[in-house]
Amino acid sequence: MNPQFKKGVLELCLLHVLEAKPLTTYDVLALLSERLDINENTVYPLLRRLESETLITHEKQYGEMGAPRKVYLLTEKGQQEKTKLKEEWTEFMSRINDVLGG
Amino acid sequence: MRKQDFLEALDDALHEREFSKVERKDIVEDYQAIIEEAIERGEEETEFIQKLGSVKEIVRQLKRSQQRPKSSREKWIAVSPFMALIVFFLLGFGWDLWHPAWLSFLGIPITAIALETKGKERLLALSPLVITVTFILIGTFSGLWDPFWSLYVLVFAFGLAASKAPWLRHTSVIPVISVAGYIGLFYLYPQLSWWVTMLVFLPVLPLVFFSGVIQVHYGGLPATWLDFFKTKTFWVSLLLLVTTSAVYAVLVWVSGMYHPTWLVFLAIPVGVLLYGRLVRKEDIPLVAFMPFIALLVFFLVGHFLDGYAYSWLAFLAIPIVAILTNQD
Repeated sequence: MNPQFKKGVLELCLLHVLEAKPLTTYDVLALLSERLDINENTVYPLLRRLESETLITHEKQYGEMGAPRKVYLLTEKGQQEKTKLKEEWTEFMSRINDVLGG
Repeated sequence: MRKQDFLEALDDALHEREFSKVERKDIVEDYQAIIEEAIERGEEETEFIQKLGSVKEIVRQLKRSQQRPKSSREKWIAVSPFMALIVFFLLGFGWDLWHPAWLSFLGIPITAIALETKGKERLLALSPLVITVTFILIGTFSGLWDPFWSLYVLVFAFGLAASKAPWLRHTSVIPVISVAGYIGLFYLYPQLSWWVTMLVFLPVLPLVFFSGVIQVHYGGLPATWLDFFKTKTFWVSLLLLVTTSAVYAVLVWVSGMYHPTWLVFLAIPVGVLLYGRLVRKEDIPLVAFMPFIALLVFFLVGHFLDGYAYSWLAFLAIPIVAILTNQD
């Protein structure tokens, strides 16, 4: 698939998977890179950007050893943004289908 | 490439692209956690690291994601010093209210904190500044410095309310009751000795001490209570609490001055921060010490040199240090 298509919807996908359940950084990277066939390099900066925009937040999980793991979850603002993006995406897809179908 | 080599190369590349120390530590720690979790889930270390891509590409993507137009909140933060200056000069030249017009400068860190932090963290960080503004306004216009100095105890209530542990959050009501009790007793029973009214704060100190140690050492809660008592942080904090209480009692006994003697208690948070920075080698930025240093300078210079007219300038050191160290 065209990489530009994927990048366009990556934000929506990320918000969507976090809406379903909180995930660790590894989980997010593994899930999205596998399902969208996208490089982890693209997902991690997006996680940081969405957090700086307070759309997502994280809690730290401390294990007995190693680095603390971040568990990301959706904020209320992120929930609203996800709903908005989903509506825009559905509308966009419907228009594209109209064009391609017609 | 092995994990350690990858993380070192990542740190070097981030340094080269001028990421701040705090960002570097955060990103490297994230990648360490990612790799460790991947290995734990059965992925092969070198293969997974290869999958992550080249260090240079990771850093390039991160740099690109940082380069975004200034958000409206960043614009407000940038504009806040000028707005503070305008308010200061308007009130000063217009109504000769240089004091308390200087409080407008506290609007600079207040704006930055209000826009850059969120949730309970925001409340906690804002509380000392908002309480200072409230306390000085009440004191200036009504002369009621006592009993309203007790509002500072509410900082602990915000600290407890921001805690991750529900049982600690519930205890945030205790400092609130203590402050209400102190103000109530002050007005209802003015004949009571000061020491008796001060007893309302007795439950606050140990509560703040234990929750503070837990937060600083674990960032959450210890696995077991035995772990908690085994930590050096606990013993260092206990030593600080006992020492400062003893110093406070002696100084009050010798000088008879409750104010500004209470400032010795600032040694507790400063000591815990210093211990974290120097002994535990934690990345505690210099700016974390600044609110305490500013408060100390403000009251010491103000009280002993009768210099409140200019000692407030100490608060400006907070944003100055934050900007200079780039770790705000």
